[in-house]
Amino acid sequence: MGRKRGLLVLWMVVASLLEGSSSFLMPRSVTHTAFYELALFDWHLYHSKACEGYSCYATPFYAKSTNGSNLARYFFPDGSRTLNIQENGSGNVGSLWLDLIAAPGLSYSSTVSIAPEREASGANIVLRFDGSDVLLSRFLSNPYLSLSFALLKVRTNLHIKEELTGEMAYGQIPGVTTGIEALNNPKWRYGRLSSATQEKWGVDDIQVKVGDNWFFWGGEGHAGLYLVGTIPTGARPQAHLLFEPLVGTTHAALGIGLNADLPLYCSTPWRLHLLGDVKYRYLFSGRERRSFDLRLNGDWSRYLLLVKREATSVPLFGINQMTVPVKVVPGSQVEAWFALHGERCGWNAEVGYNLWYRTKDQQISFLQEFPSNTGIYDLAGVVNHDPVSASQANISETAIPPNIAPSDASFTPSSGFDPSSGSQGTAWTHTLYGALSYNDEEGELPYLFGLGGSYEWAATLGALGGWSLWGSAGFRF
Amino acid sequence: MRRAFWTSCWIYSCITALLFPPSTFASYTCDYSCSSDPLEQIYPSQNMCVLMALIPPSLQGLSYGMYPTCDIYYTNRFSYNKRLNWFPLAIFTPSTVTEVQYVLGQLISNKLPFYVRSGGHSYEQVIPFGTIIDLCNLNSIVPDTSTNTVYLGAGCRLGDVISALGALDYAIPTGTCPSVGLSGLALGGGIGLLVRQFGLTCDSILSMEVLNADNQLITVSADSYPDLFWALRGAGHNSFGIVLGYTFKMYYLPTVSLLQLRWNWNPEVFSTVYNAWQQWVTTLPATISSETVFKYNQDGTVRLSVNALKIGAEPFTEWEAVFQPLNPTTTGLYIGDYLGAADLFASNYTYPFSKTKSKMFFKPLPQDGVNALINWMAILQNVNCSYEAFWGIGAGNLGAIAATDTAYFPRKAFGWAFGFIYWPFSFQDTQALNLINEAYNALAPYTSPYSYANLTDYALGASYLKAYYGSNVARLVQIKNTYDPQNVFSWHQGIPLYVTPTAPLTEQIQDKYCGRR
Repeated sequence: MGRKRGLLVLWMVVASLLEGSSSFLMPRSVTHTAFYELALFDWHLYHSKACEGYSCYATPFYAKSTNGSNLARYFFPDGSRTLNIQENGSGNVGSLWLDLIAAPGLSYSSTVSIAPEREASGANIVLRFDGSDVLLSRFLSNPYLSLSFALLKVRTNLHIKEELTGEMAYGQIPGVTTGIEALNNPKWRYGRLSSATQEKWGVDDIQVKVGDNWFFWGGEGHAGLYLVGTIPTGARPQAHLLFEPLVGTTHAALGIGLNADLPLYCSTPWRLHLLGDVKYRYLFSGRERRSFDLRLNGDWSRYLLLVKREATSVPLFGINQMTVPVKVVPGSQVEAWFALHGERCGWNAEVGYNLWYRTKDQQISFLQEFPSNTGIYDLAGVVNHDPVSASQANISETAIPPNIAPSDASFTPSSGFDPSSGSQGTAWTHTLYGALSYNDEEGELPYLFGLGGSYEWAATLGALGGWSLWGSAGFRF
Repeated sequence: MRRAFWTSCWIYSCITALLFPPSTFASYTCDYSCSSDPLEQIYPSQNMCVLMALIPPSLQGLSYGMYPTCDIYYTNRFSYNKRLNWFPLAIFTPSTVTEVQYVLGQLISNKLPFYVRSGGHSYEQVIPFGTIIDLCNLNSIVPDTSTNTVYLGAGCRLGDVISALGALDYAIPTGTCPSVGLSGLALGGGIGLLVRQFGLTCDSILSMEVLNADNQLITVSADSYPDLFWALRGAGHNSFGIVLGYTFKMYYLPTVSLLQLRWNWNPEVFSTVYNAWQQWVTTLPATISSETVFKYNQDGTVRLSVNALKIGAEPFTEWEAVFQPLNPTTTGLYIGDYLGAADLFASNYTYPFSKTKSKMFFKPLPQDGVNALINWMAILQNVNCSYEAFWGIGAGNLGAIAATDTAYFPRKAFGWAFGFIYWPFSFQDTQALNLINEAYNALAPYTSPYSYANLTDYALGASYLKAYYGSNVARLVQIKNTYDPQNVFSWHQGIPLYVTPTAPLTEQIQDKYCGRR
């Protein structure tokens, strides 16, 4: 167990080192969460007495992420768990870039930590029609059409904390006296790290499936193929906040899937089946607004201060200039779901596993370039009273040696954005769940009620892990 | 409020000018036709009777008043720079504190704009309209060798001060242009050839007699009104009160050596000499102050000078190893009293129109900056006009006084570049201004955003506060609100009652780290 955990941690470290920090995280869509769609229902669909007709399922749920410290490493520079803000340049963030400067004779010093947490609650709805009336039924054996979507409320909170260290000095610029204030500076139009809980309501992506099944072993087992499409919903990410609440991916998707049911044991009154569903989808391009670092200046260079060529002593917040509209192609996503389902006299138990994998954003096209005649604020030059620019500066540097941001007269070229810094990183999670239900087959409307719970492990930094509880209710007619 | 007043005055004067021709003002002598002053030929005349009508009765007929109906007004309405064609309402030259108080009181109660003139060497028109209080008659010089102090009236000119103190083998650190007023120089800092040993002119002020915004005479010193004392030394031009007299610390200075080296035009030599000088000044003891001057003369010749003054009787030999191998065209080494040295160094420009600009720099000029100056000299030689123009560059640490002890901001500057251009005819204004701006812009990339408050430059626009006073602006505004909340003392580049803070980070970094590297 310990060895597996170690390997998992190692994998996460390697992944984070390969990908660097990112300003953006797109959580897994509820509609793309296979166990909400399939757990208990997949059995009910194929083993209730109604073979054809309509089905309606609802999964009210509550989910909460738990991998806050790993998410901190996803967002913070160089995979750090904390921001070590030091005015003297000895930390991973130089405080001067954040407008934080202590009184003469003192040096600002603090450690900022975050534990991002996302709560989602709502209901996933699946509507389905099985039958020969669907389109192309002449060519299909047991065609079906399904539509699923989720109504949900999302709440995010960074749980940002700061501990003043060293001389316990506060910043001297009004309104920017601590790291928390500096990172939530109201003059930043984008990329703020808010200490407040953010909330958003909405309809998650709408998933449409058209498929066909082939039954065997007297209808006890089946295999099927389907086409799956996603109609995007939700507002485009605007990057006003780091880890802003998002509902819907805003990306259309198209894919193919395989669904199967293999009876393992069948002896009245017991039944035990292995259920499986694997699907691949490709997420197409969509417009968003994201924050980007500069290629040459490392992680978090989006928070460097900038200057215009004609006013090199007037610093501008880089995040406002380096948050730009882009066209993003997220790329591929794979979901695999397997479950063992047992049934006895209407009582059902199911344990399952759900793998979710999404590639790192495949392509980011900038719709706006780095502004011309703009350079990085020249901290060393300011000290010398002749600031020009500091094109090689990075976020850890400061105005004095030894970690001084080197002055030069070079203004950053327009090709300076580093696309990977605003990319959604590779996401990979493993979910285990267990659920119980009661299925009634006696009445006019076969129905079910159930309860379930799951735990999701995030195997990469760019994914949310956490637990969820859900209920299941549905009927066929 | 003031704008409303002048708007109504303008309307009133238009109406009266139409309704009442000058002859109808029986009580005034309105028979002025044309001055014999040749400068008057340049500018169109004003309706002087209209100006007279705007002067409140309480300020008319004063024995120390010069009114638009008097010839003497016309020779005194101009300041040093004749480019500024200003018709003040009247010029008052009070001789006593009581007279100054009377005039100031009337100006305040009548809400009339005014400007205080000491030497008249401002290079810009201080206010576009209003009254001058000229302190030229407050020119007493009272040295006290027992305490090494001297009382100087605010109307003293440098020539008089240097002569009077030089006769006693004493001096205070000032410039050497004889017609410059002491008060204007001291209130904006005061850079001269004694700067490295004794600091700026303002650094030697011990106390000041000041008429404040309540028209009360107060003594301002380190112990009395210390914040006002701080502000007046470096940012004191017509913003906080009228300084009527100063007590200065003076320095016994029996012997000095003045070095004057010159090279004729040769771009390569200029470059070599300048770079050698720039290195040399960093090695000098505080007793030696030095400057270089890139100068274009009226006759079209160009020369580069290195001037240096050494305090004391020790032989001045420090320059020889550096500059003798560079074969100066002329070499002059004066050894004697400071008065003689100041006479030798005194500048005397005859052209009436002028413009000046300044730049402070915090590290040596790089070669591109030097080339910019040399290129400008080359450009001037291709301009077929008889200008006089020069950039004087001084360098060195400004004494031991702390940067925050006075309102003079660029105390830690490595050097300063002062550009001047003089021209004989007003039709040359545009070309001359373009020329000096060209040099200024060429130097800009290699210098700081800061300028010298004594070289008033309206082209700085809204950035003048930062340019002159850097991170001292906020404190100056605070002091302004304390001592002159009604903005009695104001002018185009005065200290305002309110300023929108800009780039506080830059200010804080400079306050904190400048000089720590």
